[in-house]
Amino acid sequence: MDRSRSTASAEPTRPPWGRLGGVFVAGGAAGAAIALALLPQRGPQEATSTAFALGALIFGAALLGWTAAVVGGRGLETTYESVETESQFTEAGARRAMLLLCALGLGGMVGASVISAVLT
Amino acid sequence: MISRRFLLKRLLLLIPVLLGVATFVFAILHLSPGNPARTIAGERASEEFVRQIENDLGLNDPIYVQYGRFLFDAVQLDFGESYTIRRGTPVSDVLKSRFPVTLELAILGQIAGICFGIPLGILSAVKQDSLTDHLTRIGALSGISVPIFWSGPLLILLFAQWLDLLPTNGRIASQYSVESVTGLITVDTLLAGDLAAFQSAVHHMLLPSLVIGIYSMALISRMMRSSMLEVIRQDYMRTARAKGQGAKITVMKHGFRNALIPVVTIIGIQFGSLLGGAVLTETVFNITGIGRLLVDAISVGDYPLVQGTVLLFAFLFTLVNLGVDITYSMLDPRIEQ
Repeated sequence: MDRSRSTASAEPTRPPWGRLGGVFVAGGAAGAAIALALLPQRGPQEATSTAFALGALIFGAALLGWTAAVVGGRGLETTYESVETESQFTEAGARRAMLLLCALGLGGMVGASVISAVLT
Repeated sequence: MISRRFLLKRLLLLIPVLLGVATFVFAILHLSPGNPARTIAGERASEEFVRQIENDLGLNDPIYVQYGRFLFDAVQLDFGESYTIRRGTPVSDVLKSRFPVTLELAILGQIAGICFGIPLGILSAVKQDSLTDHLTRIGALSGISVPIFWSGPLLILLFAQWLDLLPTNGRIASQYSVESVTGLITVDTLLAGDLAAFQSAVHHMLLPSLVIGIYSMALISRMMRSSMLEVIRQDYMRTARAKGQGAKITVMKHGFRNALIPVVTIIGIQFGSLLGGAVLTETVFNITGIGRLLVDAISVGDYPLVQGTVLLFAFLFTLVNLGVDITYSMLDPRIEQ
């Protein structure tokens, strides 16, 4: 128990705002790029819908993953510790990874929305 | 006693879960092929008519507007109207009428699982390596391995065809008409004070709830056995026995509560698969619950109905897990930390 606490406390507790912003922008660019790439084949409505839905898919799944990490992350971390799997999994790490994915998905949704607003 | 902070934290976590599920379902439905307007209009309808329906449904609005509208409506429990299965009926009304059927099935299945699984698990642990233990373990392994689409027809064959003991479809015999109060047929017949109808309802629900509860029963009994075995080996159990306390009292008074903690988790997780199992069980036993509704809605592309049903499933699942967390902290207050 003590060992898991020491591992968890070694992780930074604050969300990585700088990286989150960067990933959000990257997601936005990817969303916009996908929408623009699909534009000639599918038309503005369907192209932006598909790009938005892809971003939403990532965002929704990551949000569920984040909740799972908050609820069960500590238990999983302790389990890995107790069975001595040498796993690098930590609750804080899982939460941060899921937050980054949330930012990526949300960025994709915003990027596709911007293209949709420009085209319509 | 549960702390307010713990309860508030768990309640607040419901928001990201439901938002995540809603977003995920919205995305999947928009990525899946097919046009809802074409489904409503029919294959032979003109393009103009299809476009008119698209406008009426707001399918031509920018995607972010559709997403925002979907979330805004969902918060107010408005999931739109069914496109096909019950055309023009609000999804919330359809869910209201069908949901109690599935809920009753899941609850009865869970009760069957708990009532049989826990005593069998304890018995198996207490009589470790005896014939009872071996038979219980074989039974549990079979229960985990056998899928509903196989166990359902098998039990129908045994109890309905060969033994002629139980009915195989519907929720109550056709000669009874019961006013729906809660939607749960066993409760409604009791509220009406009609014992013959209650007996018929129980008779009809026995087989489906047994089928849906088999997996739960098997898993609970396996978990209870291993958890109880672990507890039995603890020093405090040995001390209690050394003080001259009887074996039964030692197990039930000192061991049961501690052995129950991992079992409670399994019961919570199980409820989700019970809802999933309801889809198959309702189909096998011709029960018109939400599980069959979901299958029908997916097959005809009724988006609002799919979204509403999945969100309801997710809400129920998270609520049950919240209940598990609370039970957890009541059994062992250290868990809150």
